[in-house]
Amino acid sequence: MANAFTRRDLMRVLSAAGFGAAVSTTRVPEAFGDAALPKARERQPIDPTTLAHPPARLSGGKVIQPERTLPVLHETDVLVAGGGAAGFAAAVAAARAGARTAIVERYGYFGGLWTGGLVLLVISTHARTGDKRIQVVRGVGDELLQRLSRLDHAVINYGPDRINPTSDAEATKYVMDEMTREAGVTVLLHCWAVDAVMDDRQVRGVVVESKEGRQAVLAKVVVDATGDGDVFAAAGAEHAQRLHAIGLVHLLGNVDRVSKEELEKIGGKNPRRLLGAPTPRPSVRWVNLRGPSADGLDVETLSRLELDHRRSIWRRVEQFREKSGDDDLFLMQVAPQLGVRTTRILAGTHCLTYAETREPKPFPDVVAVGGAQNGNHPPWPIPYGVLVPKQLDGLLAAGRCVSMGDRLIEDMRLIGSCLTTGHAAGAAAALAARDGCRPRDVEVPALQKLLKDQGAYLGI
Amino acid sequence: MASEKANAKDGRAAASPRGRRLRSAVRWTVLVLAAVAAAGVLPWDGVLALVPAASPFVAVASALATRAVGVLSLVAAPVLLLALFKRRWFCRWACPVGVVSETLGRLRGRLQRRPNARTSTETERGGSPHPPRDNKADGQGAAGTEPRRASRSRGPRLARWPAVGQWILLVTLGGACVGYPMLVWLDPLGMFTSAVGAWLRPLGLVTVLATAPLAAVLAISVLAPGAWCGWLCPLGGMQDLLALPARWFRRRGGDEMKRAAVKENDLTTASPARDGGLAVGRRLFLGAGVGGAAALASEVAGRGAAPPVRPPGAVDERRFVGLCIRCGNCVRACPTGILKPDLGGGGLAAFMTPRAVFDVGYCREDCNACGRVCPSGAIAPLPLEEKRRRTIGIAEVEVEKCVLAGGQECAVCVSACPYQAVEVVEPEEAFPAYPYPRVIAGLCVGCGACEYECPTAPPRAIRVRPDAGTLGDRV
Repeated sequence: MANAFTRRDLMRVLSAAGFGAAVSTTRVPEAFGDAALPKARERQPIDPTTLAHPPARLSGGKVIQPERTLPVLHETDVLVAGGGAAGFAAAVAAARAGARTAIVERYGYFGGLWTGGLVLLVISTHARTGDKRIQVVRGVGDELLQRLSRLDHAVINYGPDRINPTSDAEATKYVMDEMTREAGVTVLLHCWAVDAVMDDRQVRGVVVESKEGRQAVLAKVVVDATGDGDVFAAAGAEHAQRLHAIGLVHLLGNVDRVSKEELEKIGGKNPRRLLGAPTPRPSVRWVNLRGPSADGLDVETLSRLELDHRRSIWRRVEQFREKSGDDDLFLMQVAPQLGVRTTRILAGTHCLTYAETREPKPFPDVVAVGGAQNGNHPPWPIPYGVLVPKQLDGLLAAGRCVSMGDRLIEDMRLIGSCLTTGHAAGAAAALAARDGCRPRDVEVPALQKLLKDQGAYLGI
Repeated sequence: MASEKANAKDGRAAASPRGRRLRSAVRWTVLVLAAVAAAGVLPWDGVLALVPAASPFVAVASALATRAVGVLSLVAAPVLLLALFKRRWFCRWACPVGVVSETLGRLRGRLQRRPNARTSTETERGGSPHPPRDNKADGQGAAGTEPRRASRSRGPRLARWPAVGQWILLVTLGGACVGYPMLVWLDPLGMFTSAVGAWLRPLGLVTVLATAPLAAVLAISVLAPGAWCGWLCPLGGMQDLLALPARWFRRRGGDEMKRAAVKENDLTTASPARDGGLAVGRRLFLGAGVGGAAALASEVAGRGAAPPVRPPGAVDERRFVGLCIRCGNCVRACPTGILKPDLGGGGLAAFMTPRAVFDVGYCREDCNACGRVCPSGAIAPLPLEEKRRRTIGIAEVEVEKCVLAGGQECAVCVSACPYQAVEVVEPEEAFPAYPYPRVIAGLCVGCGACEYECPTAPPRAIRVRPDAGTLGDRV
C-alpha cells in the first residue's frame, strides 16, 4: 500500500495544481522568468476546497461521476454537432439563413469520412427522369464542388455531363473551411459532442469534451450531424442500430510508374484494378478496403479493425511490390478515420422506405431530393419528417442517421445525400430558431422557399 | 360468275337503308369502343386484352399451343359459335379493321370515279361515300359495296387468288398443334391493338414498326379494295371455314343455299372458299401439315440460340415467339417500362416480341400486369405470389467490371435485390482479390433490380441472362 495513491495524495496534487494554475494565470512570466512561450488563456481552476469540478471517483468498485456544473463554452441559435458532409452543409445553410450558428467537430478538419475517411467519391449527385439527367445535389453542396472545380487538382468528373465527381481530401477541407468562415459560422474543432443538454423533452444544447474538459454549448436548435446519432441517442430519442461493413481507405502513390510488364506479373484478367480508382492527384489512386460487418459504436471493435486493416493494407502493398517487382509504388496514406458506414438510425416522424424512393412518392414536405448511384433512376423526394425525431424537440437529424428503412441506408449514407439532408436540416433549424418554434412546427412552404432561394433542388 | 348471281339476289335479301345504317352505326361504335379499350386509357388494364382476345383465330391457336383454355377464351367463344351459323358475321358487324379497310377502299373508288365515270353501274352507285348518308337503295349492304364493285372490275383477277387467309389459318393452327402458331401475329385485332397502342408511347421506330402491319393492311385496302378482308385475312378465312358445315347442310335444300350465297356475298364476293380449288379436307391436311412441319423445323433451327429475357409467365421461348401476336399490350401495361419490342436481337422469328431490358427499371415484385393483359396466352396470367417465384433469368456478376470487386465502394446490387439474392463474399486470399458480390441461385428470379441499379456502364457488371435451365413452360 506504500505506493497507493490515497485520497489525501490526490488532494495534495489538486491543491498544488490549483495553486499552480492560479499562479500561472496571473503572473507566469514573473513566476517562471521566461517570456518565450505565450501564456494560455484563463481557465476555471479546479478548486480543491469546494470541489466544484470533482473528478470521477472509485466507490465500492464502481466509478462514480459526481454531479457538477459545466461551464458554457458558447451559446448560439443553431448548433451543428459533427462537421462531416451533412454538418458542413447544415452549418453553412443555417448561417446564411441569418441564424447565429456554431459547429462542433471532433477532429481538426471538416468533411468527416469524405476527407478524413478518404472516401473522396461524391456519389448520387444526379438522377434521371426519362431522357433527362437531373442534378439533385445543388445548393451548398454543389457550391462546394464548383469551388473545388476552380482549384487545381481538387476535383475530377465534375461538370456538364459528368456525375459522381471525386474530390481531393485536402482541397475539400480547405474549401469547407473557407465556406464556413465566409458564412460566419463559429467553428469549434477538436470538440467531441458527448451528451445532450435537456430541458424536459427539449434538446437545449450539447455537452462537448475537449482538451478543456467537459463544457456545454447551448442552442435553440441542435442539428445532429454526428453520423452515429450521438446526440439524439444521448437525448433519449427512439432509434435503431444496424451493423455494416467497417473498412479503411488508402491512397497509393507513384501509380503511373507501375509498368505494364510489372502488372502482367501479378496475373489475373485485369490487375490494374488492384490499383484502385483515380483521384485528382496525379499518379495517386485510392483503394477501398471494405472490411467485415461490425458494430461501429464498439471501441474494442473499432480499435481492433483499425489495427487489422492497417496491417492488411501494408501487406497488400508489399505483396503487390513483391509480385510485380515494382519498387516505385508506395503507400501514400491510410485514411485517418475508420470507414464506419452506418450505426444508429433515428426513428423520425416519417420513416422513408426504399419502395418510396424507387417508385418515387411525391411528398408535400419535400426538403431534399435523392439521386441515383448510377445517375440512372428517377430522383426521389426526401420529406422533412425523416429529419424530425418522433418525440424529442429542439433537434433535427441530418446525414446518414436520418429516419429510413434498412434498404435505403446504402443510398442515404452517401456524400450526395448527406449534403442535401444537411442543407435541409440547417435551413430548417435556422427557421425554427428565428420563429422560436419547435423544429416539427416549422412552416414547410417557408422552409421550401428558403431552400430554393439557397439554390437547393426540390423538384417542385 | 357467282358474284354476279349474288348481286342480283342482294336487292331482296340485304338490309333496307335503315338496316344498313344500323349496321354501319354498330360497326363504327365497335371501332370506337375497340380503340378506347386498346388505348389503355381505362382504369382497369385488363380491357387491353379484350380486343385481341375476341379473335377466335388467336383463341384457338392459343388453346392448341398452350394445351389450355384460359378465361379469355370466353371472349372469343361467342364470336366463334356465331360464325358457325352466320358466315362472316364478325366482319360485317364488329371487325374494327374491316370497317376502316372498307372505308378506305371506298374512298379510293370515289377518287377514281370522279374524273370520268367508267361504267354505268359505277356511276349509278357513285357519290355515296359514307354508309350513314347513303340514301340510295342500291340493294347492297354498305359493307358489300366496295368489295363487290371491286370484284366486278377486278373480279376475275381476285377470284383466281388462292384463299390466302385460310392457308394462313391452317398453317398457323397446324404449327400450334406442335406448339408454334407461327403466323398468329397476322390477326387483324392484334394488329389493331398494336397500332392504336403504339401512339400512346413515345414516338419512334417502335411506333412505326408497331403500326406497320395495320398500315400495310390499309394500304392493301386502298390498292386492292376488298383483298385483305376477302382473301388475306386469316380471321376472315377462319370464318369462311367455320361456316362450311352449315353451308353443306343448307345445300341440301335449294332456297337455303341461295340465301347462304347471298349472305356470304355481303362482304366479299368471290370468296375463294366457294370457288372450288382444293377440297376442304385436303386443304386442312396440307395446311396443318405444312404448319406443323415448319414449326418442327423452326424448333430444330432455333435450338441453341440464346433467347432474350422474357416477361414472367412467358411460355417457353419457341412457343412464345409463335404465340405472341405482337399486340404490344404487355409493353404498354408494364409500369416500369422494361418490356420492349425486340428489334432484332432475338432473331427474326422473335421480331417485335417483348423482351425485358433493365435500363429504366426492373420487374417489380408487386406487379403481374403483363400476364393480365396478354390476349394470346404467350404470357400466362400469374397470381402475384406465383409471379414472385417465377424465374425469368438469373443475375450474373462480371467480376472484372464490378466496382466492389475493383476495390471501390459499392454494394448497390445487395441492397437493390428485393429477394435478398445478392451477398458480398470476402475472398479467402487477401491478395490480389477484393470482396465481390455473389448471386444466390436459388433466390434470384432475374428481376433485374441489381442490373438496373448497378453503377457500371452498360453492359453492366451484374446483369440478367435468361436462364434456359429454369425458364420455361410451367403453365
